[in-house]
Amino acid sequence: MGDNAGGTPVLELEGLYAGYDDADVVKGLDLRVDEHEVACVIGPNGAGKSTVFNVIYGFIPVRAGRIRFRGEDITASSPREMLNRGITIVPQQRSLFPQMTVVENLEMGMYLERDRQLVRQRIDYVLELFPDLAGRVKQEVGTMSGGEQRMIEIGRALMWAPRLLLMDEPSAGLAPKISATVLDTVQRLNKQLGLAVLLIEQNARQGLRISHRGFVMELGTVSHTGTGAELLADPEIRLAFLGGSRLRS
Amino acid sequence: MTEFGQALVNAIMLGGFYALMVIGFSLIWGVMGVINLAHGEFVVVGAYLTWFMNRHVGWEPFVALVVVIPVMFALGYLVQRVLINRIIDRPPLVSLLVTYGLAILIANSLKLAFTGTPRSVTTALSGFWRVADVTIPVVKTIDLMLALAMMAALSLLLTRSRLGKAIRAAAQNRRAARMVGIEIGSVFAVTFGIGIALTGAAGTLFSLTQPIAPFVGLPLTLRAFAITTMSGLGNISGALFGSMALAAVEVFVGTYVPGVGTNLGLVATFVVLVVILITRPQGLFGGLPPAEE
Repeated sequence: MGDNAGGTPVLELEGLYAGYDDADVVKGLDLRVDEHEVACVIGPNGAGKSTVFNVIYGFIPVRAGRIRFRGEDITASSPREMLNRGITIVPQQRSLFPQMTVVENLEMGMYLERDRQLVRQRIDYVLELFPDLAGRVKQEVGTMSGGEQRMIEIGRALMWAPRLLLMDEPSAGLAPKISATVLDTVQRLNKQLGLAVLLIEQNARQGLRISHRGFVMELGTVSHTGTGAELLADPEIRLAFLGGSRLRS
Repeated sequence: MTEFGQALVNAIMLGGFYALMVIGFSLIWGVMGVINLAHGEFVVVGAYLTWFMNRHVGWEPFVALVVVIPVMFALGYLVQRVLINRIIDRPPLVSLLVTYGLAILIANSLKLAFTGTPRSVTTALSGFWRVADVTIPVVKTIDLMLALAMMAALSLLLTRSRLGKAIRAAAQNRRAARMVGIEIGSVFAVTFGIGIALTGAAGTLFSLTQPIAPFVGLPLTLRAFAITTMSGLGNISGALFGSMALAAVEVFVGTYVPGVGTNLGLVATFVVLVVILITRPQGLFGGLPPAEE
């Protein structure tokens, strides 16, 4: 994990409420991610984890509360505004353009950038981070495996050189080995680039393992918080979310 | 042999018109998931605009394209912003009903404005060439060339330009397109504008070969639907091939089945359509998937 994590908050959610139709799914949520740190949200299905991301990224409206990015109020910003501030997202559901090639998908990550030379430089940079993709830049992504597509999604999110990366269950639907590789990649990017990451992860053990900070979300709000290691060692968390087994730190 | 050659030439000429006529319909369906039942009426609006410029300003019908294309683009953009954009996320039945209502509105407005009397344009290019006893009309040849040129231009726009990439991205994954900063509403409005501009241009070509009347749009919508279903959504080369195939069925049945005229040709087209839908529901050539969400 990044050695200089912590200190200045990059993202703060304060008393956040959001939901669908008449029901609040997120109910008074408080959460904070500091510069250069990986923070992980775990919790049972239906706790409202993905709704938090949809609210942050402007896909659904905030009903009450505040969202701050580096001290600036960004409540109710559109996806385009989020991008312009340096916040990118890798959502849970597939978010690639399946009939475009790898390189076209990466280019779309900088759709708002008109400097073609900069776009080409960023593509080279992303391909350095993900060398397995380098030989397949002309391949349509719809023909690639789930793990490869996830790497392209992460690569596309990095094209914008974000200050904060939101990742919603990046290992969902992947084989255990591929899933571990994806989370190792997140950890590597945090170390290499000092990138702040807010991660939602169904695989609580894996998610907390790579995180500086963890949040347990239940019934729309945070019920426990602590460092990743503290939550991994907490008997209550272990029983509820980690199968009550012996843990590796 | 002459009869076959003539039928072949006629089929190619008709196929060229169908291809341009259908591509706007296919683009709008493929990108936005909207089946525009007013499509044929937009062809007719383009035809009336051409007639107006020809009759009252004295322009050659082909020259009228410089007015028809921008005016129809603006009309399409406006219709999307004011009407279609409000129902884009509703179930498909809603857009079917709304565009059907729009078709009725347009056709009756045209009747009020121009009466039901059929109108025809005049052109100085009404000659023909004869090659081995086969007649090749100059107007239809220009029609074909213009149709191919406009389809090539659309293809270049979609594959080479920033706007084209945004349109393709919005068609393939609407939510992901928003995530990378694409303003979906603007892209959809421009797409609708482009689709209607091409459809209006097809109206110009239509005006050169057939009388213009307010209620001739429906058969064109039916053909557009049939060709798009055969070809796959938003697939330009597929639309060209599907148009040629449909035109060939119509012309050859009309030529070789005596006493039935072109009506049986249209029936034969829909028989082919039903067979394709049963055996290959994704269309013969794939193409863009329907819009998500």
